[in-house]
Amino acid sequence: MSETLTRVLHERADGARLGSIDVDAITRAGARTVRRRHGTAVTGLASALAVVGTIGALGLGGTDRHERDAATSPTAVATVTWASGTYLHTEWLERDGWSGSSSVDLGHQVSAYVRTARGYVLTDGQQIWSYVDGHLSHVGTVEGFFPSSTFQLVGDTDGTLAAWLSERGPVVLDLATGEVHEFPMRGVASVLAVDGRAVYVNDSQGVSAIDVDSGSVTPLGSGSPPLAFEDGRVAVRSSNGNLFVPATGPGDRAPTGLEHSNGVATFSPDARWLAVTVPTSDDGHRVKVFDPDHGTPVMLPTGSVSAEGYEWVDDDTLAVLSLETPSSHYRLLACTVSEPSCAVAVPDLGEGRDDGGNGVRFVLPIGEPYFPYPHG
Amino acid sequence: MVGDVTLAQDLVQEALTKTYVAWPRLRDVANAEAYTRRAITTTAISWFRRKGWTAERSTDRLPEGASGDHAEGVATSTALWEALQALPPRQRVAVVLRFYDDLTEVQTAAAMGCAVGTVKSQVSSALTKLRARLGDDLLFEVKP
Repeated sequence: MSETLTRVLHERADGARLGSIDVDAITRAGARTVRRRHGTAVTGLASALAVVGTIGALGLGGTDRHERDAATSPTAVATVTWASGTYLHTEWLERDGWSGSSSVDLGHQVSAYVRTARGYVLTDGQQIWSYVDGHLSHVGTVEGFFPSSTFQLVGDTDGTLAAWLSERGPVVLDLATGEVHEFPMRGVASVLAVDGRAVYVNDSQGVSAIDVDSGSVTPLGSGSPPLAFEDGRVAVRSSNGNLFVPATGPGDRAPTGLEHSNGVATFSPDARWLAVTVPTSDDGHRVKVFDPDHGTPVMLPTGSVSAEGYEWVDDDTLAVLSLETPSSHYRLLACTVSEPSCAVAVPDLGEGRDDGGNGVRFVLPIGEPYFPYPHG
Repeated sequence: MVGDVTLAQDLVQEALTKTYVAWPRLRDVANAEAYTRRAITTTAISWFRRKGWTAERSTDRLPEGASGDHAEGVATSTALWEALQALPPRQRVAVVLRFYDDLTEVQTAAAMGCAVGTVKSQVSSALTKLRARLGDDLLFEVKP
């Protein structure tokens, strides 16, 4: 080895004055990522109840059923999407089977994207675009590094809003109108979710809801944020590790302990179902769907050693990323909860990893790159 | 690896966040260091790639030749440092892992998420560029 080279590298490293590590920032950012992936967020019951009670009182969460049907009609079909390179791929599933597919070249590398009822929002890691009715429009810029635990696109599959975090605060795009709303706020750590006309953000004080139309910001409670938001309902984890959905009305009763494990949760658009994906001991995942009102679990017949429910494509259909065997290529399933059954929507997403070991070649509508374990 | 203290702090922060996320699945805590090193490496390369920093960095000053006294030693260090910063990211990462962290080629490959042969070629290319820029005298005792 070169002694000179080694000496210079050590001299420079020894001379660098690195600041202390911000452990709080690491745990905050990590908890947020964990919540979305393999969750270990611990939420106090009291604060969780305070959050859900406030959301219900505000009437912010969710989209009116009629409004939502109008937004999604006339597609009585499930739509599974993914991206690779500059292409956005779509598969349609009607009740009698898969009816078609399309691939659109968006002209920009798709590094992350989200789907709304009105269109898509995507980024190449530097710029942000919307894609609505075949038209691509520049709508923003990624500030800071990408990918990172501090930037993520969020979208509402049964609404028209998408959001992300800039250095000045949350930015919200209404894909129905093309309007971009900026909400200057200090100290926002992450944009958690958009639901109806509300945007949920998290900072060191807790969770707040922004009413996009009035601009009002309502603190909802302290503690770690809920794992999922939909139609005024939230999924939270108690201090003993049980995932549960608090009752939304004084006469309602909801079971506790839907799942006792780390996991990521997502509500169906009508909040009728809660899909929970948890890591397994063999580095895979399994997905289970619950009726949050009664606690009844539904096991989806994925036929896979690993299955992650990553997006609801309609009120009854969950898109699942699946590995049939440990050595298989990734595939996408569309699972109908009410039957329950699963159909293969995309049989082969390819081998997966890219050459640099930085993730996988495909992108899912989760607002950030999908990283299989282990990743950098 | 990144040539900038602020950037290095961001990188460490990000890598530790990724390690925090992966912690429940590391099984063996002894894997944490290797995981964090890999996170630092792949994140750095990814950042450079996304931000278009893959091009070699230009420097204003030409390197000066080296001789025995202290002043020229400082000049040598500066020249070599600038030449290192001008390397493409993956080559720079490979050099840092091999010559600073003193990792084997196998360990470097694991940290970079690439094949051992790729490490060899990246290091070889880097040393060739450093020699071309600084001369063999500055990089004496270079062994394969």
